[in-house]
Amino acid sequence: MPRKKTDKVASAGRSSVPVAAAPKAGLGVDRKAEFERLILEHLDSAYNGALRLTRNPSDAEDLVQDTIVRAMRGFHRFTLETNFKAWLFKIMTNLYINEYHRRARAPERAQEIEPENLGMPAGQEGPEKHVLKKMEAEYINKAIEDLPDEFRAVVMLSDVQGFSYAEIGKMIKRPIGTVRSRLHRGRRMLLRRLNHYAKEAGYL
Amino acid sequence: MSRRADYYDCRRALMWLYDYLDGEAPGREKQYVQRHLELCFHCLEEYEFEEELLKLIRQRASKGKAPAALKKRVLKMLRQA
Repeated sequence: MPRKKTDKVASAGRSSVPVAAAPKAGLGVDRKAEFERLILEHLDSAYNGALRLTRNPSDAEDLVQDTIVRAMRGFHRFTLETNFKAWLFKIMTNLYINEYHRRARAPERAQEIEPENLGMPAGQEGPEKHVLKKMEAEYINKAIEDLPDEFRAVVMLSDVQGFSYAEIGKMIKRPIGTVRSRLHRGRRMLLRRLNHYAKEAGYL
Repeated sequence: MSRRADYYDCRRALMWLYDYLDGEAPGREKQYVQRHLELCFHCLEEYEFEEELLKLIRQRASKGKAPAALKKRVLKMLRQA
């Protein structure tokens, strides 16, 4: 027998009603508790992701709250077979791209690497391995912050949050090839910035 | 059966190195990178460097908790809804 994905309380009285048709505001008690549990479980990573995206603590808090409001509205469509964190980050990334992005202040420096080396690793340009180990979180975060928006988003989603290329593609609504090239280029830019900071800090 | 000589193209290996590290390289390329790294010390070093870097980014950049005030607001919001 196929198992229904609605929670028991919500589906008990109207088992023939499709999940998607459930009334918007009507999360059952269990379902509400489930949502709260999931949100609390992922709040730290959501805030962390929001902070990387917005580069500003107060915008990050706003983004997280807006994301949760949207998620709550859409939660009746969410099934536990989906990865909740990926689903939450998809909402957040879209919200950021569509609304917060417009508020962005600094002009972006998108093109800063020579085309023949696009997306190819080149460790020689970066700090040495032993230097890398000494790199404080502060520098790594600063280097991520320096990345232009479209690169920063994929680096955060992949390297910090660990999502797959396919998951990220769905989040930013771009083909996997685009995710791949942005991510690889983003990493090279990141390495350059780290190199720069390593020199500044006197490690190199 | 492929020969060793078929796996000596550093450029091809480097092209797929990130995908390989991310577990996203298609089967053929995955095998290519794997074989190449057994043969080419230079690329192996490159691989180890990049692997280290990615690990470091993951460790260092994912730290940090949501501020207590945010958590409080979120909880309040969830319970009022």
